[in-house]
Amino acid sequence: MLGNLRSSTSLLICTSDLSDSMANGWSIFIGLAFIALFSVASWFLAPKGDTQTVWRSGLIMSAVACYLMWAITLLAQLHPLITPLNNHLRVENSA
Amino acid sequence: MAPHKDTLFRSADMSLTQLYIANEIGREVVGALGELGSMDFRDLNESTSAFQRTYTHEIRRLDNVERQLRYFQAQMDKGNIPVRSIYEFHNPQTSPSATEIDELADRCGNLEHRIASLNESYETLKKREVELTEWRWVLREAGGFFDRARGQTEDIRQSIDMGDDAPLLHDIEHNDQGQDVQAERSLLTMNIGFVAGVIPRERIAAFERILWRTLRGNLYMNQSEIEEPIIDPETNEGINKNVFVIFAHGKEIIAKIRKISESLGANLYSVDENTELRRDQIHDVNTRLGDLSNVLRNTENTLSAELTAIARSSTIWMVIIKKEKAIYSTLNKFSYDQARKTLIAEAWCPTNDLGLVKSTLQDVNDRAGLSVPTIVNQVKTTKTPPTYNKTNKFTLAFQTIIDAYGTAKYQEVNPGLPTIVTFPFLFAVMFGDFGHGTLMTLAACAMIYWEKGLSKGKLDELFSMAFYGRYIMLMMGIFSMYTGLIYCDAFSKDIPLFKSMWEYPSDVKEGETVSAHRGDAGYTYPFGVDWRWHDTENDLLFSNSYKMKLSILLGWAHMTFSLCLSYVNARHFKKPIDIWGNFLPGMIFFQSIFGYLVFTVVYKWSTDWYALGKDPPSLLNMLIYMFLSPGTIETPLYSGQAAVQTILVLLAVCCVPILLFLKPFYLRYEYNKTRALGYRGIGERHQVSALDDDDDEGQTLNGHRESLGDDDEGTAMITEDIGHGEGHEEFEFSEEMIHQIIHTIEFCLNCVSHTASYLRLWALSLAHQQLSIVLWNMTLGNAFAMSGAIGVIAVVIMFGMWFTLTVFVLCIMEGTSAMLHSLRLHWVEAMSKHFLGDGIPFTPFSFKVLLEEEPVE
Repeated sequence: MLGNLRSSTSLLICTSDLSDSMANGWSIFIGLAFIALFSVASWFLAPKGDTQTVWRSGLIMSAVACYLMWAITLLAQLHPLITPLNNHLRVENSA
Repeated sequence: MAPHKDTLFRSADMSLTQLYIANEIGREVVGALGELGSMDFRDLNESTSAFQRTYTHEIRRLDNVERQLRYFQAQMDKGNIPVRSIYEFHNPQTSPSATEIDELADRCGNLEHRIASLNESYETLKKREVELTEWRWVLREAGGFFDRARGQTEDIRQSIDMGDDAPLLHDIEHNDQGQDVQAERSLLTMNIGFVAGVIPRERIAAFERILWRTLRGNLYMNQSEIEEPIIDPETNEGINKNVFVIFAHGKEIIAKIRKISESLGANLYSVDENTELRRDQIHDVNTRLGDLSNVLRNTENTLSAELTAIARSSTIWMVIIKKEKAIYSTLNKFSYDQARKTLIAEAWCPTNDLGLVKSTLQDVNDRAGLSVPTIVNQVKTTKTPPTYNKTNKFTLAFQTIIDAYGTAKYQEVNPGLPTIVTFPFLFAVMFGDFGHGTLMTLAACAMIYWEKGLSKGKLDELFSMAFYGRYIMLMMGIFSMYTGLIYCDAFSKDIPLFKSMWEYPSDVKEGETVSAHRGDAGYTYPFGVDWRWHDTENDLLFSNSYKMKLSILLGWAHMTFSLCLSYVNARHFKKPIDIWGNFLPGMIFFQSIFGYLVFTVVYKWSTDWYALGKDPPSLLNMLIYMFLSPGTIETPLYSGQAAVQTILVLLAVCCVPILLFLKPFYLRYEYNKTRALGYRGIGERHQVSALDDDDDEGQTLNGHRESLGDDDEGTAMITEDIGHGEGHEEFEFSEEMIHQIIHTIEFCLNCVSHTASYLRLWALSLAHQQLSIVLWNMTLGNAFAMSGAIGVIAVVIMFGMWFTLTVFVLCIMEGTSAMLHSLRLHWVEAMSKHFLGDGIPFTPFSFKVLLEEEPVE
């Protein structure tokens, strides 16, 4: 559930980014801000009781882990040094 | 200090409590506490052997009842009587009174006696029946031999006379009855005796050979197989047997044959030569068999009725007896105050459960109607409390991962809490595939949905392991779906979620190698790896570089996080020297090398090298040359790099002596300072406290008292041995120094080796991806290439194959291997950064735990 939540939120950020495509590198920071917001929210909104600590740490750490993964992947493709090479393209595909 | 709320972050606060229990209700109190399951009783009679303890007699008696119950169980298994399962009882956790237990014990004794006698008579009868059956077979089969043999007497004599012929071997079935009288006479006149009996079939060959050799062939043996196996009443197994009749000449030889056959386990039966008499014998045997089987059936019915009655409640009896035995073993740990007729117990108990314990005790007191209350007393002690992490069904499996490595020190940071996320996440980095993740999530969801039913039934070993870790599986599955989306892999196929950042030129000829170009220079694929990398010539080139750096970055983050936990530990245990002497220099060392590496990776990624028109530097070479020749840069990454790197290397080098010397020298300084002020450690012998001057024997034995609790004599008698052999250790500088040298060397080397160890994330994820590509191409990929009817059939078959292999090889096998690697990353790479260990596990006296460990089905 957490993973899905994260992925969909990242999607949201990215699609909002697409509108101003000049700021692609900046989406890293937008994502960071979002994660921070999410973490603060989950800190306060975690259900009270015995499981509060588990909820808090679970949500925040999942958010951070997923953000790291997403950010690293985005950064790796920000200024790629190699481009895809393909020798079995179908002609109608490339058109 | 007010007790904290118990969280998974640290082990729960523990208190050493003393209970003063009136002797009369000792059993009830312990029973109630066993149901509660939050007291870890200390053994106060460690010097007393098991046989000398107070309640040994009761335990023996209960042992006997348990043996009887097991005997019933064995009898029920033998008679195939179904036992009512423990899960069918509405309330298997009842606590019966002492008199009920006595009744139960008596009843079990009586029942055992009854069943044993029934069994005995049944077995005797059965043995008799077998004997009669065998006899009947002998009579039946031997008759045929006689008829044949009788006709042959003439020939036998002839053969003795003439020697050449072997008329015994001739089949002379056609001899008519008219010759009988004459033949019988001749058998007698010839002085030929015979032995008849039954022997197991596998011995027959040996039997024949031995007879032949000892008697030198002077015998005539006839045998035939009994068609149905004879049931041995002792083992309840069928044995194939043969009937034999041996004719021989002379009394001595007959005696010899008898001895041989008896020694080989044959049963001999008397058979009359006379046909008439034999017929009577058969008739007699048959009637006796009929009577016997009637009696047998009655006995059997009684026995099974008795056992069925027991089967209805034997499991609950077993549970009751097990609990009762545990109660008395616990009572044996208590000490008894003769003067006041009270039992004194000591137990570790989570501080937060004290209220519950008190109210339970009050309940027991009220029920017993006793005016003397049970006193609960908290005792201060220097002894290390046990480590207790309160788990629920979600966190249990994660905590088990950590506890399998070692018990955390009392109140240190529990790695189980971050493990809830990091374990499944690192797994998912290796297992990243949306499809496989979905399969895993579905499997976990199914197990969670049918949790109640599954936890009751009996599961096989492998499945019960998966079931135990169902919440881990759920988390692993969800994270695998996420990482699958990032890797853009679903069953090795791409997931085109967004517009690709790569475009191919429009004029492509079939089979030509083309290079894609970036569609929009400012557009980067927003989520995960661009799907256009799939099925390209150089996708491995890209994904290797990406995944390698990904694993280094994630490893760095994981290790930095783990290292920070050591800071939290140092703060909690109020050891600032651990911060200044271990955490800070260690952190600076780690960050100035690997933190810098991470920085350069990110920096290199965020620089547009083509726009700058410069060559991107190789980071691996950069890191190597940073140490080999600091200050020289071959291909620069940024300006001022040489200076930064030199400073960082110097910083790292400077940290090593700090790591090495600060802590031991500081500790020595502290020690010398306190000694100079005249303090001594309480463990030191020559120091005798003025407190111990009173003439209590127990105290002089022990030297000193460490309990700060009630000064009442009764208390002191019990608590004196707390902290025995613990106290303050003598400070030994050399030991401290050696310990720190080892720690330093280990830490510095581990920084390198552990970072490299995280590359397993890359290796396993690559292997997983390639394997799933290969599997697709070998099965479904081939099937899709076919066309027509064959294509349809091939797709169906290949789909089955692909799916089975996906589940068994890619999900189960690969999943297990990824899990083991994730386990290792936690145990070795992360926990070595902060885990102190050496805790004592909390083992509460709890019926629930007891019955889980020795399940009664």
